[in-house]
Amino acid sequence: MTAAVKKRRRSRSFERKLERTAYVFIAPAAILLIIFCIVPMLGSVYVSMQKMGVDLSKAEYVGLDNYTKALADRRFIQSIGITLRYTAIEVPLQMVIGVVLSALLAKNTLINRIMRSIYFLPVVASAVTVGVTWQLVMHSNIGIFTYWLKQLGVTDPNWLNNTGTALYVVVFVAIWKTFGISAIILVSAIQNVPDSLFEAAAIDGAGKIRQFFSVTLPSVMPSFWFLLMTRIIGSLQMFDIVYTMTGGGPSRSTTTMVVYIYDQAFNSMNKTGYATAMSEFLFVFIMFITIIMYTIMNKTSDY
Amino acid sequence: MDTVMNKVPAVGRKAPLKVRAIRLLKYLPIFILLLFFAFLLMAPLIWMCLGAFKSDPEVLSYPPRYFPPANHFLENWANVNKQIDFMHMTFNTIVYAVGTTIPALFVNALAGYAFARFRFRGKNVLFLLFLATMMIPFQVVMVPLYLEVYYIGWLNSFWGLIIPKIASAYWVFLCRSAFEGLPKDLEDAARIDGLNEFGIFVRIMLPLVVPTMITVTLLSINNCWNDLLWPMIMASKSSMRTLSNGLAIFIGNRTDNYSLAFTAATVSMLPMLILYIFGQKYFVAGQATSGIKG
Repeated sequence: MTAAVKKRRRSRSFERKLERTAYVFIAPAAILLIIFCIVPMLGSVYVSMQKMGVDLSKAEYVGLDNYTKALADRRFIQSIGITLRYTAIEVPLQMVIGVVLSALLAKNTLINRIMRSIYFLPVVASAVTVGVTWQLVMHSNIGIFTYWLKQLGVTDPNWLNNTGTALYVVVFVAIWKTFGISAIILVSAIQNVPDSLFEAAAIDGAGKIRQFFSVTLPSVMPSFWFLLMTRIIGSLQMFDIVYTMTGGGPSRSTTTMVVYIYDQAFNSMNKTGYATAMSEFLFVFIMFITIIMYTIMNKTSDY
Repeated sequence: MDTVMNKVPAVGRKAPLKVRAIRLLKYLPIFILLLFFAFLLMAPLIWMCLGAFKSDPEVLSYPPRYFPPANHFLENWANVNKQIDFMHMTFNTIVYAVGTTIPALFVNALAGYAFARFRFRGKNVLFLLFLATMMIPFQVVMVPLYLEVYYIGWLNSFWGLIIPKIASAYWVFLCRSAFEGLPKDLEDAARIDGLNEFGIFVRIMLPLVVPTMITVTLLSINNCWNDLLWPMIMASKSSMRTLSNGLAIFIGNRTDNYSLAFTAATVSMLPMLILYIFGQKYFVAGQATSGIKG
């Protein structure tokens, strides 16, 4: 046996040892994810075909009945409509505000740094705190914003108890709470654009606004698409702010899909199977959007 | 030529006073816009904090009173504690947050490290598996997960609250990208010195990614502190309630006790505010990397 063969053997056994180590290192996270994420995901298909409460032994197999029932459930269809409307208002507004403010805030001046930390503050506050605060801020009798709006000539429509306005208030609060994230993601994307690009554009005679559209925006497109995707998915899953601010009311005008699913699963008798079937629709929605967005992202990053 | 010179940013040279004045004037509308947004963001929170110091009639007065005429905070605080077990809820929240974060750091960093530094069979498949779990919305698994925890017998226990929340593909990715940037020589040198693989991870590699670990710690604590849906499902017993679901129930029941709502909300937010003030750059780093890597 030559030295070279020996060496190769040793290195192969060393490689194998490293491989084993890698499996051991990944095992804890993988096992936890399998037990508490993948198994429930697969289990959800089973549960969605049962008529049941929390007791599996009393479950009754109903096949696809829960799915057909969901499609015939007017309240479920209504909640899909509300969720889509919510998403259609929240996401574009959020993106426009995020893009504009991040462009204004990208330079690391003292003022911008202070502004950025203020804008990010509501992100760390809990949805419950935010929900409670805004419930009171928009309150008809004591609310400070209601009062200011009255001073500005906007008569109080009873913001959160009016079926015409409640959803818009919720949208506003959701943007208020999360646009710090959008701004921060876009600011760091803009800061990663090499200065030479801006300098070249300036030498070519491009003004600030022209620079924004011709240099900044195209350079941050990957981050923009990523943000757009996460915002859409987040909006489809809207729960906690709505739940703490309106509880889905008044007269179901803010009952989003997840609020309805939660309500059916945990506040109704024997409907966990039904609720899970509805959540599969949500899952399909989200998968669909993820696939579309990934396709767009891959196409745009090609050039 | 002249116009070009004006537009190229001057480095290490102060522009003449007149130019600076014009620049400042041009900046003014932007500054006002930024200030307006800052005001919109801060006003509700400041009003909430001020509300914690007002008595109920003062909160109800019309037109609204901005500043509390006298300090009623201690009175409100005592009343909050009479109606709900605020300290116990805080204790539960701390156990949930710390109990999740410490094992989460270890488990996810270990997996992220393996994905970043080792070559092994099935790496891509495993990686896709991790990726897939990120796309599963929690709402879809919540009922089966609830059933699972129910059959294990962990309902209304810290085990049930904590264990399912430890592993997170998101943290694995964050750790993976941090470990990927470290030089290969480090491990080789450590191996020659006779350190085993776990030793290399703990003693050599982990200390080099401390900023990422702090980011994961802060974001994880913040997530747990603010988490509403899972504690609401898992911990329905009043002695197991965390601040988030405890307050949601408290305020849902008594919407007429405004000053108490203000007080409870303010105090429950305080720890996160302190965490944010001291760890701002880590919070921001966590969000920023997620955007760029995506």
